[in-house]
Amino acid sequence: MTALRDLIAATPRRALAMLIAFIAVLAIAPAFLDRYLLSVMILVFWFAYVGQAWNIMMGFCGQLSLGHALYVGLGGYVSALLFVKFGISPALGLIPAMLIAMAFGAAIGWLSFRFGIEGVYFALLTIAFAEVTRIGFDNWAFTGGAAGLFIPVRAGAAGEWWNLRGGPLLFYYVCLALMLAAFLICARLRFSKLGYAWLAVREDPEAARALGVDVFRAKMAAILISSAMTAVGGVVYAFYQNNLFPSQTFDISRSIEMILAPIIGGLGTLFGPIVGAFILTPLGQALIALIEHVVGKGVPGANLVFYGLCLMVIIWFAPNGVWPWMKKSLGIREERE
Amino acid sequence: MTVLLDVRGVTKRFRGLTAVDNVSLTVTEGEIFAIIGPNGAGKTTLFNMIAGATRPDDGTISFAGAPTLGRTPDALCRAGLARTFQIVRPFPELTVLENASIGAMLRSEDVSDAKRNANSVLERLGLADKRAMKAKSLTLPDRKRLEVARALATRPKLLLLDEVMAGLRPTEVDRIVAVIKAIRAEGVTIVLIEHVMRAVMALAERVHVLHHGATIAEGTPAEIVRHPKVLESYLGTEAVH
Repeated sequence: MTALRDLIAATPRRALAMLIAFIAVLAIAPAFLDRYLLSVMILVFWFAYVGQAWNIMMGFCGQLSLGHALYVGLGGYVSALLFVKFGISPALGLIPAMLIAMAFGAAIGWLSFRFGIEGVYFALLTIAFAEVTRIGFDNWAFTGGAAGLFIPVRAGAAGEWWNLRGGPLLFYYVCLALMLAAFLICARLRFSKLGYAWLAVREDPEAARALGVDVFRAKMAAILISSAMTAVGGVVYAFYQNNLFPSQTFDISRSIEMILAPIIGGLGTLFGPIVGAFILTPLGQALIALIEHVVGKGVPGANLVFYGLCLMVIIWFAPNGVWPWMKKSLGIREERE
Repeated sequence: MTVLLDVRGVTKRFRGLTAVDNVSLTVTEGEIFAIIGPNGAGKTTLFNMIAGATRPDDGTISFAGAPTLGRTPDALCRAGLARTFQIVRPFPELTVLENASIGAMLRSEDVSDAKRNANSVLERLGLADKRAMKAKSLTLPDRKRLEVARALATRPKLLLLDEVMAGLRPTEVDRIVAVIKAIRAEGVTIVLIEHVMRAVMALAERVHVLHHGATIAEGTPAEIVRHPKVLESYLGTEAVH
């Protein structure tokens, strides 16, 4: 709690007032939203959440992961399997889901950071892990293989919120809570000793080492925290969708989609992933709806093409992302010293 | 007098080139020790080996009584050995205060404690009024000072300074000289690589001269400037003023 108090004390008044108003609007918004808009907002929150988790690795620590769908998929599959096969609530399944995602993260991290695999090669390794895992799940009969895994929707279970069984309203608040929690966790981490070590590693690992920073440890901490957080996103997403297909869950297009919000919003900033998700997801969903209306059927990947265009436009006008530019326009000063 | 740094018979070869050739030196606690020599004499390579960034092919180095071989630069920094880089390496997107704070984290309780310590180091190096600037927007002399501030913030026992005065104006040199003297007065041992003879003369108690990777002389500044080999290969007869 002291951390929260410090954070509030450190935030400029103006930003704090805007933040509180923003949260209040989101809290009462479902009263005015229809089912469709509610589902869009769920996605906004979800992408803001996983974007925040990814931002720890890239934005803070400078490690480009292009395989974060791996942790989403692992989180989803582990919790769904425990629920479907053994009746274990996702509230409990969350823990093994996080642990298994962290084990994969640790393996990737250890292999790369111990043996000096950096930059593009690290990114390739993250893709490779996600792909290999996808192929593994595709061929594993226990998990339903390529035919997918379905979480049964029983009529009587609709109100079991502790099992993540419920309607859009439940997921609206769950995802909103995740987004806010991730923001607080990241804010806490960013201004901790570990956070500064991450920034040093991102900026210049050699110089960081010369100042006593254990670069390996800092990078491992980043990938462990990020994979665990992302796995939680995977749990919620699986129970929201009620189905899991390896070809979708672990796909690289999912990994790419997850990282766009923090990039467009502003890498390494705390509000970037949120701002990015609020811009991209509604636009993407609107585009999907528009194409369905015009063409008469969905065109897979159309939103990704559109995201690509958005990325180009935004990087042209605000190369550091939207948030740093917004911060200036809203009159919020740099952090206090 | 306790020996803080003991370098014995250290050699480093890069392919065919012997960058450092069987160099030995000892630095005792509390002294200011200079390593000089023409460009390409192997000074920075020697520094990198002392700091744990490069592994020697031959010889041993011990710091505070313990061998350094196989220890990483961060482990050595935690043990009290800090260095600056000849080609400065600030964290460009971070502020001056954040840069110094990262150094100060090592011996600080928490972040606010680190910032306090970093602030006092910045004060000493005359960077306090630039603390909110991003490191990338600093001028070269300021970057050099930040390099020293950051290393100093780790509260080292031994500070390795690699040409922190190169490219500075004489008044700025005098200022850094004063700072280095004050740091030593607090009990920090200093090894510096320097081309600016004015600073070497003003600071060093002992000078070690390298040429083509090998030691050609060691002694007090007064002895060095009269040493025939040093005059011939490095200083030239006009160098001392």
